[in-house]
Amino acid sequence: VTGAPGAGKSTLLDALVRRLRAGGETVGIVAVDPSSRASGGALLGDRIRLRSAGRDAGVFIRSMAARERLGGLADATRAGVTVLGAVFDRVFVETVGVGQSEVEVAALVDSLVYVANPGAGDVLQFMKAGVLELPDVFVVNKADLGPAAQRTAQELASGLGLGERAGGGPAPPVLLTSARDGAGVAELLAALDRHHAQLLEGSGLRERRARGREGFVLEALERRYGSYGLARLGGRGAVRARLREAAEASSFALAAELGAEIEEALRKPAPPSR
Amino acid sequence: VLRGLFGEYRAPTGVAARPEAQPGERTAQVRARVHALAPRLGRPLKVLVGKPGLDGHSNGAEQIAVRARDVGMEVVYEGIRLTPEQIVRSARDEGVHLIGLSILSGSHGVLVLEVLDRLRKAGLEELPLVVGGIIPESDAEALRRAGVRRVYTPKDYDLTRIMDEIVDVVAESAPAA
Repeated sequence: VTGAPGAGKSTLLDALVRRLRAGGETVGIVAVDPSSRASGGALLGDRIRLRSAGRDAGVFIRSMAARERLGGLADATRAGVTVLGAVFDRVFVETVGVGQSEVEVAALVDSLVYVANPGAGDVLQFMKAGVLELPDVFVVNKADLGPAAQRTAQELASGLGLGERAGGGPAPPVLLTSARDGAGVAELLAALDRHHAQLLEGSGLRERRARGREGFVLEALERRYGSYGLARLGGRGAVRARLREAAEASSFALAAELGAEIEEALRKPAPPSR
Repeated sequence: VLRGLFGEYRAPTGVAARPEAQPGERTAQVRARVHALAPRLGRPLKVLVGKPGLDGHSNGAEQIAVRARDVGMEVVYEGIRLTPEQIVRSARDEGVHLIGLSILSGSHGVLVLEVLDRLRKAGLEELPLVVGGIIPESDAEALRRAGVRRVYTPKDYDLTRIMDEIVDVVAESAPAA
């Protein structure tokens, strides 16, 4: 779940969680907030609105500071999501994002929900921010504000009809919700279930998770060893191919294994440059 | 009506402007201590700030939360009107190094003791707890005897000093490097 600050992501997520809990599903949440560039500290405020976890053992929330990372995730987010996924029926990641920064988030999750504020902008603004390309479900929250929310939903829908989507396929749904009075929450849940069913129909889910895994391992290796280190394994393409071969292994084990190989290669003299 | 002429009063909520001009050098010193503690903790210092009980005077807790962020801590701010159960649950799930409670309702005795009791039951008796509020010295003494590491009152307006002491408290309880 991503979107601009104040769009109502946490409140909407809280409404979703209550509904899921009523149906007996357990929920794990990783809530990522940005770190201050100036102090390195972070104000993690999502628990204020995610109130459903109070005394319910079926809900778990962990707040994470993004630390030095841009792009809406923390280093430990993937690990957190993996662990929670082993324990809870559904896992949500909540993060601030306003467009292109969602690439990493999209690579981590099966379904990406973008929450917009009523009056957030017109078609062109959504298009230039790049928010239309990745999300699988669009939500205009605060529908109780009336016409402003409906107009934003129309702007989003017409923008989605115009532009080209990263993954191709049909235009994603645009929903109106009100976390305040609960309107549209059931529809949002249904849209998420529909998207998941679509992914399960073909090889969509497997491909999406494989892409996410490749992105994660490549990024982890590149951050630690740079493009110079990656070149020692034959470059990004070669690493991708190896990751696809080892489709069953865990991404964390693969990152560690390939990292060890790079370190080994770096100890030897550099190959002659061509 | 007067409201039409003069506008409507909106009671201030949220964090007001800083009550004190923060001398940059002291802030930087505390920040350096916070950052220096991270290798020992294995990650940046993370604290939970919340208000148990029924008073809604959130300004103090929010000043503390923002100040803690400014000296480099990762602050889970949980908001107001929490139960001791919620606070202990959050502290456990979030993996914080310290809990800071703000209570201005006068019910610090009952609430703090219950938090301490629940921390023990959750196996978190080592997790340091500090409390701020309108707390008479005799009560403060009782709270400290019960295991509260520091008690702050409105006399402690130097937020940077409070942050410095929070670093002391966490450093005392953290495993040696």
